[in-house]
Formats: sequence, structure tokens, C-alpha cells
Amino acid sequence: MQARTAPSAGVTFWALVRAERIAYGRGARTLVWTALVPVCILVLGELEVPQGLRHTSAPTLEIVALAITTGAFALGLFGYGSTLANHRDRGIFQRLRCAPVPSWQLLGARSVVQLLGVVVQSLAVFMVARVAYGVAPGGKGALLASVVIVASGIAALAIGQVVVALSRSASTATAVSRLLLVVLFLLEGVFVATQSWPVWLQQVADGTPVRLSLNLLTDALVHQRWDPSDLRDLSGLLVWTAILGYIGVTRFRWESE
Amino acid sequence: MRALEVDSLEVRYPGKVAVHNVHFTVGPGEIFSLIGPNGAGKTSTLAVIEGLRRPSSGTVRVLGIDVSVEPRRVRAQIGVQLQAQSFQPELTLTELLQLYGGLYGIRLTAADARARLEAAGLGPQYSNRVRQLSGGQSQRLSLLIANLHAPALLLLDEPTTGLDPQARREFWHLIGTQRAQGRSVLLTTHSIEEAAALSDRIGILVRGHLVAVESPDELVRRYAQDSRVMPFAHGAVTLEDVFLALCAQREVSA
Repeated sequence: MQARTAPSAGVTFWALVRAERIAYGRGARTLVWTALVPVCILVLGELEVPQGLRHTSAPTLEIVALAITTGAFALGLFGYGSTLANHRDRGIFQRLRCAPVPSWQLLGARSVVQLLGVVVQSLAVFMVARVAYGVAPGGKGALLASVVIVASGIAALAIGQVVVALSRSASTATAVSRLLLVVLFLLEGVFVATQSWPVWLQQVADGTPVRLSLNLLTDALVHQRWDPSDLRDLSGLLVWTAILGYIGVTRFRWESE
Repeated sequence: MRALEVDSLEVRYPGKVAVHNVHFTVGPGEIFSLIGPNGAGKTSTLAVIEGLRRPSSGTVRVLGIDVSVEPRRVRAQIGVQLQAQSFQPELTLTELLQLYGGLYGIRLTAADARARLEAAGLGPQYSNRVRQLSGGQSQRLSLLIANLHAPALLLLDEPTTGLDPQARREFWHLIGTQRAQGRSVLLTTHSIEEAAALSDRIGILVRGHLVAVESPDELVRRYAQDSRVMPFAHGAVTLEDVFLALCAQREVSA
């Protein structure tokens, strides 16, 4: 009997990305969060834009920012997090780990596909905004926005990863995700304008990943520039991502209890 | 070269030792069954061989490769069938074959995958998902995927649990063909009948201890006159009587 050599990391990673891409396209829940939620916000959400973010010259771009941010974080919680937890409960990761694949690729391939999903989702929102409202960001705004969208997408995936890592089962992860979705809407000022909150609570809210992303994207799309406060917000978002990503990966268990 | 060598294996969990100082080997083309009651340590032993769990002590080698030193290389030598249906529910059978082929460095076109499904009697299901298969079809798919890369060693974890008698016999036939192809098989099962029908040798694992390793006939011959076995025998001593007696003795001594 001759021993086989293990395949190269590139070959296994591509096989996983291909399968994840197919699974992503067929995941009904993911498609709902990817397509419906941001588009609904875009179509219905004009009255719900937080007062502090409203800008007189181009109000629809704020709605675009709100739709993209909500879609990205909802995708991180439900599209990524819940699917990850469901697959863990089914033993799918244990079966994949029996193949000669580095463990990091199992999460890495999934994250790459989900991040591409966030980008596609954002492009879809921009297209609908252009058709429905006749507005589109300028070139510089679009460039800045693309940076924010990628950074927000990674932060959203890190939140989904933490939820799964700290949950013992898919049902727990889904329940926590639903709760966080309500918090997400609160932080975006969808239910109650954040300006009516106590100052200290506004300051806390402004430091959360969701608000940092929303502020950055709004500034990129509406003002088409960043000032020092935006660079501080971007640094804050990256720090959040690093902390959440570290906890999410190191505490993650491959099988549910 | 031996397909599998397990030497002084111990697996410990917090507050519990699941596998105690277990030794056994599986030769080329041999079917070796590990039988034991629930919690005997069968799945823990398999998890170490599969590289899913690190041994607390001892060594496991597949084709001479140490699983603790080169886990990826070991996984390239083994084909695995787990207890649960653990394939992505979103993918069709064709796509699952392409995925697992890719994970072993085998590029399968859709036509290649369909041809393999056809050969396994799953041709009409090529565009179905796993949830649309019967129990017997699911197990055939599992075995097909475990065999995609022609591994030297197949690890089958209770493969016929939940199958009807017809599907079970059909699966036994498939396992028998693996031996004919020179493949080694390590099988865990609750079924004494299955172990007796398929195995060249059987290891009886009780509370993490490997209490006997012999061929089915030799186990019966050796213990036929043993006073511990007599209370369990109804007429001629069977492999099941020997198994029950050894389990009972270990439970008492524990």
C-alpha cells in the first residue's frame, strides 16, 4: 500500500469556496436577508432615517447607507451565524474535518463567500436606489463606501462568529441573533430616534460597530469625504472586528454539545 | 505494512477516562470490528484515528504515519463514514461528490460524478439532496464518498444503524467488496451478527478496555468452556454469549 500525499491548500480551499457559493445561493434564509430586508428599508424607510443622520441635500443616500448597514449586519447574524450553527449541529464540520483540509479553511471559505454576499447585496441596493430614486454616489463617495462596506461586512461576520462560538446549539444562536437584530434596529434609530436618548447612552451607542459603520457609510455617501472623526470611527470598527474575531475563532467548537 | 497500528492509546475527558491503554492493529485487506456497549470508547477511538481528537497518550499510525505528527497526511489515507448524515443539505449528490473529490485533490466534472453515482446505484438521484434519499441510499452515498480517493483504510462508524434488514444485507455486501479490492476496514457496530458476518477479527471494547481480540470463530472456541460464559448460553455457545459474558465481567470488576 502506497501512502497518498495530501492535496495542496489551494485545491481544497477552492473546492470549499465553490461548494459554499452554491449553498449560499440556495439558502432561503440567506436570500431573504440578502435581498428583502435592505430593499424593504430602501423602499419603505425614508421616514425612518434617524434624525441625526438626515441631510437636506440628498436624503436618499442616508437611506441607502441605512439599508446597506442593516443588510450587512443582518446577514452576519442570520446568513452566516445561523447557518454556521445549523451546520455544526448537523455534524457537517466534523465530516469535513475528516478530509485532509486545514481547519481554518472551513471557516475561511465560508467567510469569503459571505463577504462577497455583502458586496453583492450592497451593489443590489445601489442599483435599486438608482432606479427608484435616481440617485447614485459620486466616484469618490463610491470608493470610500466600498472600503466601509468591506470593513462592515467583516465586522458583521465577526459578530455572527461570536454568537455561534458562545452558543451551545443552533436554537440558542438563532434566539440570540433575533435579540441582537432588535438591538441593531434600536441602535440605527429605526424605532426611536437616538437623539431622544440620554447623552451617555448616545455616546455608548455611537461606539458600537453598527453605529460606527452607519456613520462611516453615511459620511462616505453624503459628504463624499472623511474627516479625522471618520478615521477614528474606522479604527474603532477595526478594533471591534479584531476583538470579536479573536473571541469567535478561539472559542468556537466544531461540534455542538 | 500495516494499515493501522494503535499502540497504548488513552483518551481522557475531564473526570473520565474513555479509552484505557488500547492496542490493536489492522492488516492489509483485513476487516476488523470494534464492538462494545454504549460508552465503551468506540467513537473516541475512531475520533483519534480520524484526527478529530488528540490522544491523551499513546500513538496511532496509518500506513506508518503518526496521526499526531501528520494529521492531514493521515486523513489523505483514510475514508470515513460517520454515524450521522452529515452532508450539506443545500448541495445535490453530484455537487457533494465534486466537493469531496476536490478535498482529496480529485477534480470531478459533473459527468464524472454522475458516472460514479450511476455505478453506486444512485444514478437517478444525481440532482437530489441527501434528505430525499432512503436510509440505504444514504449509506451507499456515504460509502461512495468515503471511497472517492481509494483510501487504504475505511473507518465505518455504526454504518447500518437504522437500516431495514434488506438494506443492511446490501450494505454488508458492499463492505465485503472493499476487502476484495484489498482495502482495510475498521468497523464499529452494536450488532454481533454484523461483526460475525463481516469481520476477520473482532475487538471487544468494554468501559474503554479492549478485553479480547480474535477471529469470531476463535473467540467462540476459546470461551466455549469458560464458566463465565455458561450462564449466558442457551445451548451451544455463540459469539453473543461470549460478548455478554465479557461485558458483564468487566462491569463487575470496574
